[in-house]
Amino acid sequence: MVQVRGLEKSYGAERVLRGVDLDVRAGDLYGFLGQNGAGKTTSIKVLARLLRATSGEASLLGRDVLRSKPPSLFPDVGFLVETPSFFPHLTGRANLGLHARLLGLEAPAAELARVLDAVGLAAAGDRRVRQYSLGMTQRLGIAQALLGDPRLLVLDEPTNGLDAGGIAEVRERLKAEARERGRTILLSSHLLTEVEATCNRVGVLAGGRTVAEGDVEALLGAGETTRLRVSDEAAARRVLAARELPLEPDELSLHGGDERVATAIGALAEAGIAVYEATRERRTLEDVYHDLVREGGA
Amino acid sequence: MSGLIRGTARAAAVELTKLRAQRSFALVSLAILLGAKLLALVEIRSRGADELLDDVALNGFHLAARSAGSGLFLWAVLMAVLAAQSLAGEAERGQLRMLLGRPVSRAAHYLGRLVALLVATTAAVALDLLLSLAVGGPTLGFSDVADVQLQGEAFSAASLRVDLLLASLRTDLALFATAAVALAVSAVARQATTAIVSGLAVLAGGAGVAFVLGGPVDRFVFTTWIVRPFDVLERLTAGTSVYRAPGDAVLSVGVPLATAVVATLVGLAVFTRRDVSG
Repeated sequence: MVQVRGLEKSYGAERVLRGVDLDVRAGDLYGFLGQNGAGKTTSIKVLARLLRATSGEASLLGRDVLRSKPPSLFPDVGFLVETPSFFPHLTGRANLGLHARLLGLEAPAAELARVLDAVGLAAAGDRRVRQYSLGMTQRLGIAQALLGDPRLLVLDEPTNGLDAGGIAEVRERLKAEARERGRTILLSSHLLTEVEATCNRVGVLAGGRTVAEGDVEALLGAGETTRLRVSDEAAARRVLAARELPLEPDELSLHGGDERVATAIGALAEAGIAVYEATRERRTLEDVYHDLVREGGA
Repeated sequence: MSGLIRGTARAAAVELTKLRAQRSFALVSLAILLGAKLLALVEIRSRGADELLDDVALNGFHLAARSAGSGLFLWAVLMAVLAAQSLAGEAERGQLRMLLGRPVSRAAHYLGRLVALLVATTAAVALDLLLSLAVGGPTLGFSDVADVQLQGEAFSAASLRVDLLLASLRTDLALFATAAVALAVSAVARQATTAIVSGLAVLAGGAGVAFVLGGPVDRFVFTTWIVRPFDVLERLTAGTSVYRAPGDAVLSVGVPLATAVVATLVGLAVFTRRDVSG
């Protein structure tokens, strides 16, 4: 659905993107992570053809973003880039009407009602946008991205400005959009707990380049730690080191997923070392993310 | 090509919807224009004994002619403001990036805005004339356009009405060319304020160069650009004779048309290639 390879963008001598790779598959709820200034918004702006890439390749729904023209590129893609900005003297519904007209929708009134209802703005649709709170504006931004029933949603920080309740509401809405309507969603966010709770795949950007990409479960699994309590710690260290299963120097902890833990326990049992307890310590996406960003040199 | 036309139509409809909703802008514009009409009325009253006007029946058309210069100036400023807000202003406020993520090409977005400005200038010219008639009728007289003739001339009423229509179209063309230049400046500028100042500077610079250089430039640019569209009305009321000079029609249509085309090509070239980072 979204394929990006070696994307680069420079402003004069300043290289903002230094090699972004993304692979968003059909049905993914894909979290695009990165610190401020890592290049998330710039990458999304290139996908939306707001910025011209310096080099690299990018495609949306199989169409070349850098060479195709918007009429053939955007009918099936809904974008929300940065904080949404609407015309304050128009109502929320009228603002969406402008987008519906550009989309050439045949039954715009019904579609406007549908998307306003989807983001909980049905009652506020006829108020002028200048009277909207930041959270309402953000939800209106999501509504405009949903117009025309796109197959792919590209959302840049969609929960900006929302309170905890609003964030949870958007999270559930996005999950429902992916599950019930089969939409593929690429969302950038700095809220790691939200991405962990929402997305099945992530890409991590640091210093303008992709430093990791994959399934959330796989990334978390690779960082998992199992703490052991055994009858003879020194012997256990020797046995596991011989099996190339090194333990942490200051504690009896083993990195890795289920297979490594099972191998370690089997080896200890063979050596006659009793394993009293094995406690799985699940790392959060935030732990993994910070490690990746550190390793990425950002 | 059909995609470009369809996209342009959609973008123009969007732009007109936004323009229609700018009621405060319309009210302020109307108030300024009404003020200009009243000033012109005072000037006409104070020149009541002007030899040129001795034999002329005064009415709203006379007011239209007398206030045409200031009207064109005011409308040109308003169009420059609208054009500046249209691209540079929306880019600055982030509204443009929202609209560009739609299946309409940038060229269609640009041309749609130009079409909307053409509709706006046409409405402005019609409104200007109606305002003159509304103010001039009760104060100067309700006579027909055909009554506004110098002694000895014998233009038919039908001919004068056609002249009036052509003068309005030429005025519209001059305003449209002004808007096209302002839109091209807006496509280059990053901020609305820069676009407004630059747009007005470019327009004023053109007139200024004509004033300074005089001679052929004055003849070719300033006279045809600023004055000529109103010659018909002037002739109707004050007996200007240059209206039927050979080549005038070509100049008064050709110069603004060529300007609009060149400005649009430049604006398109810039807008379809620029980064929209706001």
